[in-house]
Amino acid sequence: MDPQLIAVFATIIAAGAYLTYSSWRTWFGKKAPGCGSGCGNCAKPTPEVSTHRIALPMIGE
Amino acid sequence: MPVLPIVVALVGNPNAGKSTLFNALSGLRQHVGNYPGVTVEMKKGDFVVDGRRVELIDLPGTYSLAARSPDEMVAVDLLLGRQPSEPRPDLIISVVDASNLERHLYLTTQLMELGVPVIVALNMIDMAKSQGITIDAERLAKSLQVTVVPIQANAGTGLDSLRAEIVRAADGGVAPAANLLPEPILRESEALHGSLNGEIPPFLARRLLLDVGGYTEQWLTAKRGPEWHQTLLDARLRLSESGCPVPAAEAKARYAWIRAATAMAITKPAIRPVSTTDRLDTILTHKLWGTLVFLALMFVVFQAIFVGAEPLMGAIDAVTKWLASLVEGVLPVGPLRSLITDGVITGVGGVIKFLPQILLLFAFIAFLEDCGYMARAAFLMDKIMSRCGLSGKSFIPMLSSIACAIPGVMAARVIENRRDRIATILVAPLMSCSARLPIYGLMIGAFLTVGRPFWLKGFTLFVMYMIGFLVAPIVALILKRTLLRGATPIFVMELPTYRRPSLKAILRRMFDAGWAFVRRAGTLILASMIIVWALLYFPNTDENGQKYEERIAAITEKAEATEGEDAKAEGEKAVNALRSEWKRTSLLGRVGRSMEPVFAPLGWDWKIGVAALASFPAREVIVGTLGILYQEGDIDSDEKKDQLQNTIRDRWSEDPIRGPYVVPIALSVMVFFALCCQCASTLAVIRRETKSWAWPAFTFAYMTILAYIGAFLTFQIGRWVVDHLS
Repeated sequence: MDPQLIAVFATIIAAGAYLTYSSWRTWFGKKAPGCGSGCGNCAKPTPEVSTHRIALPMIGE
Repeated sequence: MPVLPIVVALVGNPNAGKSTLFNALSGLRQHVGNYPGVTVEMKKGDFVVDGRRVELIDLPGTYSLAARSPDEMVAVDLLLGRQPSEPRPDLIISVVDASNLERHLYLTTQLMELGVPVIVALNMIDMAKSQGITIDAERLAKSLQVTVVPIQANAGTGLDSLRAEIVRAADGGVAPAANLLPEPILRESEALHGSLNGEIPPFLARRLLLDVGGYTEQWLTAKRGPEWHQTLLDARLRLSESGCPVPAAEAKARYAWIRAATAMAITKPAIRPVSTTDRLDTILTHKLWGTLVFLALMFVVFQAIFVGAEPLMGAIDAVTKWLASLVEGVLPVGPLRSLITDGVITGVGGVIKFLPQILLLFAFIAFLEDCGYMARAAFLMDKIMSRCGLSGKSFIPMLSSIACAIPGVMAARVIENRRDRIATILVAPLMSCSARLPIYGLMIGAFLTVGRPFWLKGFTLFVMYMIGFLVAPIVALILKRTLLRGATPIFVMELPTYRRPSLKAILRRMFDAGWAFVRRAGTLILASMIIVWALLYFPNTDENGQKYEERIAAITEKAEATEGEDAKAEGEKAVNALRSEWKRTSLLGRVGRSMEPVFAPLGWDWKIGVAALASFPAREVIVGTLGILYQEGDIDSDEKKDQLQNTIRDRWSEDPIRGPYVVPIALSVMVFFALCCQCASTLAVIRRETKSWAWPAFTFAYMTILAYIGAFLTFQIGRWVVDHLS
């Protein structure tokens, strides 16, 4: 068999396995999934709770 | 016997300078605390004073201890020692803004009821001074009956005194004996506490009585049923009859106490001076001018993203080409060479090319957030959101989604009402996240740059982002009128003072975003591109069993041996035809062609269709897939021609049917991507946040249908315009 073809098949299997593992981790993993789309916060389990934006206590009637 | 560390909780209103104080005390040695079930971000750090270790817990900013959402309840539980994984704090530092003391002390008065020593850290004394406010800390401490330490956290002023007070208070401090509430409230809360047989501490019994619709009320009503709830309502009714209506009575009593306590300690000018922030806000929060400034600013940002990123993108492109030609020089013709050059280098490189645009986008986001402008944008949008049944509180997660939908979806946790929270989660992915930028960049670069007005690219990108801003409120309105019917929530927002953005913070944000993008390109995108390449490579033989690569090599060799430009051009044409046939007969090509009738109303051919299909797990895959699909000729040929956007423009324009409509097709692709939820991670987070499979399924379904309809309308209207008006 062509050695290039063997290397290619091995790479495809590895890529498929990685995608399967990655999908499983995304949907069923314990850690919050990160999309890595550029927010830089993907490794964090929760986002920064936004400041300045929490409801004030109701004052007055 | 080892001395236990002193556990100190930092509590304060948002923007009180809590985090600055935390970092100043702990020297930035912090990690993130994570609680099971409901999580809330609490920073932790430690430092040593006189040989004693002090553990600092920085709680999220809050205006009161009236917990309305599970997240807010986690903080209250921690302060009460009801978090099993955390010890109860020995001491609470209430961080208050000296320039806005009365309002900040509202929370302090609640903290004083927790039965733990409290130190008031009087922060931002410089800002108070600049506003003509003087505070006598000693007198204030005497009237509040707690220790008061004036500090300036950002300059490190007063921190030694604060450290010394921490040790002193932990060793012998006593909890303040606060008794600010009217007698009827205390009586009713005691009775309520008794009726619950110690199920909750007295402080929570008081909150239960005072916080109408609060978390404790929701939780106990669900647990004990409506009959018990009637007991609570009866208690509130009695309070109302005795002149202490809930919740107004609490605020009235606390502010009256604060006013009396601060009267002798604070001197301030009779008329508040007009600050730069006030002057700027008269324009930036103005209904008309504010909106115009917002739109103009967004346009400038998007134009700058294109113009600023261009040189670096060209450099990345050149490196990609150089790498591919290097591999071609080393490896003989075969599947491995094709995988590395077409799949890995062209596919992944095509995505990486957009890194400069991502970096610039995040630089602008960080700048606008840090200077305080984003809060104004949320304020402007609050009016629109409230007309759609949601409040400005829902707009914050949507703004976060411009960077990435995942933190946006999770930021919806601060919304206490479940229906509003779900409605916000469902519309947050409609905002254009940074993963959409590569496809916008590719389409705009290919069809709306060369020979077009210089402003068109920035304007088109601006329009693409505005689609999310326009469609999300409409979808929210529909959801709030149908599936998630409910009253519009009330929202009060504090606008922070404008400040000069920190260069370090901007660079940090750019680095984080860039690294996350590169990491994703090197993992998920790379693996996806390998699979896409395989599906476009196999079968690699024609109907006679001859390998396409060998046929291409033979034609190329023959063309190169022949003299004369015409023969070479003929050879190149034959090679392109062969490549096209190969892609068409590949596994993915067959799937694409069988689905072509589905894509045809959008103006797409099978190539665009399969590229869009392949990008459902992650949006950026479309760029790499198109890169593989439109890979033509030798890598080392004319660079201009090799650029993907130029190749796509040439190929689409050559199409006899679609050729005249390339711009409507490009717009249709962009609109599809703007509205479609092609992100498995976002759907997974929606499932996690809603604890249901139904909501991510619903999100995927409604966004896909919406994207199809949007792309269909865009193309059909565009085609009509081309046919009738051009």
